[in-house]
Amino acid sequence: MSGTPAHHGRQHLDLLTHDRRREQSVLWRLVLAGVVTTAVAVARAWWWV
Amino acid sequence: MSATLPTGPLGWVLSIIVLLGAVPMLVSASGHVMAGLHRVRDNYGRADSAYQPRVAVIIPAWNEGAVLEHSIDRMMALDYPSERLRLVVVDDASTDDTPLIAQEAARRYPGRVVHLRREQGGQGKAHTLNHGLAHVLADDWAEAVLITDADVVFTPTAIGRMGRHLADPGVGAVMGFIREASEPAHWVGRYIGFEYATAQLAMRRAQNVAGVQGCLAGGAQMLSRANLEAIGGRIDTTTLAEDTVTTMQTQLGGRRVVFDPNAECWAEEPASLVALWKQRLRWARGNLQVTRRFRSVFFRPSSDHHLGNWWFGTMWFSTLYLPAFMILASVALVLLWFVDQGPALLAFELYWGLSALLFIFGNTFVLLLDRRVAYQSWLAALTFPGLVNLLVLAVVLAPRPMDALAGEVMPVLGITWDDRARAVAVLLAYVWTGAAMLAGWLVYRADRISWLRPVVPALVLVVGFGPVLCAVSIAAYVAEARGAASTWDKTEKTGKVRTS
Repeated sequence: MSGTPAHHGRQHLDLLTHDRRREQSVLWRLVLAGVVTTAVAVARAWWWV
Repeated sequence: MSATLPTGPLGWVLSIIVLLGAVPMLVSASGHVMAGLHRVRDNYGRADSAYQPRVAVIIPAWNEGAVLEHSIDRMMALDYPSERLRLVVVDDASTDDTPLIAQEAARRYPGRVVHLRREQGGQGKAHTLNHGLAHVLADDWAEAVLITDADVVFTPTAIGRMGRHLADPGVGAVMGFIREASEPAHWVGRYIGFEYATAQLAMRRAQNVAGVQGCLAGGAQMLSRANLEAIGGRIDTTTLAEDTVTTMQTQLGGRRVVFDPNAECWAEEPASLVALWKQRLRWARGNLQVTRRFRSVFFRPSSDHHLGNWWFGTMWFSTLYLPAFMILASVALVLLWFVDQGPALLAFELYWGLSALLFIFGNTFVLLLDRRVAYQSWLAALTFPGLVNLLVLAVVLAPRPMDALAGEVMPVLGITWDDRARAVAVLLAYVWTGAAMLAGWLVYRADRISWLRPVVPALVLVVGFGPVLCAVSIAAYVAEARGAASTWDKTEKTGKVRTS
């Protein structure tokens, strides 16, 4: 039932799982940023100099 | 003219000084990489979702009539067991309707909201907090204390998300993510929104990974009772950065400070450059004061805490002295240009080439971290260094196309685009790294003149928000060197913060 300690406990457990998954996704965002940067660096080295 | 290695010792020394200017950028990039590894050490493994401490929230309030009622109502409606949350409004001798609002709230929420009043106020936030702490710690009800500001709005689950970390007795304090959420959004807020995402969502994740935090968020910090009592039950009142002192004391006492990026709060930030300058000058001076006070801690690894961690020390000092790094790099580049233009060009290409790539890497990462920031602040992120610096970055990234473009544009402006013009342009680029901060200060001065105020956003676009912040740091160095009085200046809030 909403508002009870048991409800809060379950909800916060779900939040913890959600937050852990979200932190896993941070690595993929870093990888994507690295790919974008590498693409720019390669473009500079091959075409723009 | 082509880039060449230095031939004499002076050329080498100046080149090295230029490249040292890249240290803050490299530290920042290393922080982004560490932030990407946050899952490895995000502290969720030690958090207990079932742990819901009894939390006393202290709201220091000096003339906060415009924002207080909304903050209290939001706080009372949070998704947290009502019998485990109490609110203490410490009215710092307000002269507006703050006491009436707090008294009315105490009537509406009996036993949950307390109104305390200091008859003599104006001494600053730390004194006001201590008044509240004395009340809260007088009995044993509170298991944790949440320190916030009157304008901060907590998302429904933020307190639960922070409290769960205190299940681990090794954690002394937790902070949430403060999102800039002025309503309607304004141009200063868009820059701050991006800056906060960088400083918090990226760099505080990195500090979690390093096991050490530099500063608790002033508006969203939860301290365990055990930690508060261990640091004396009081907040430091001797510096302008009481949050940073609490952070240091907590970690020196052997407890960890944790950042939870998913515990989100919304705050209204300064809407003008003048208001921002006042706030940031206080922060920067406070950080210099804290650095002096805890100088023996940095770069000295200890088994009790991680404040002596080398990465942390490098990050701390490269942030604190970022303007000094940039000015030195600029001066060295100009000197090198006069000594030998070949090595100057090499150092310039290395310094700015690195800047360009790390700018792309850092901005892309931060904007990917948060959709709302990306939507609202992408242009602020792109123009953060200013259009002049962006032009330099473009020249470094694509020299041939940019040279061809200049060959088309310059004659239209009546300038012959020959080697002499190129040499002057290069020298101006060298000078700009340092001169941008002077320009930032001039833009701030312009914001103080009413008839110039309408053009200030355009000036910031050209000069850059970053250089303006660096100018604040220089003003802080000067104020501290002069021993200027440490007065507490409250940041004006109007209550225009998003509610959903």
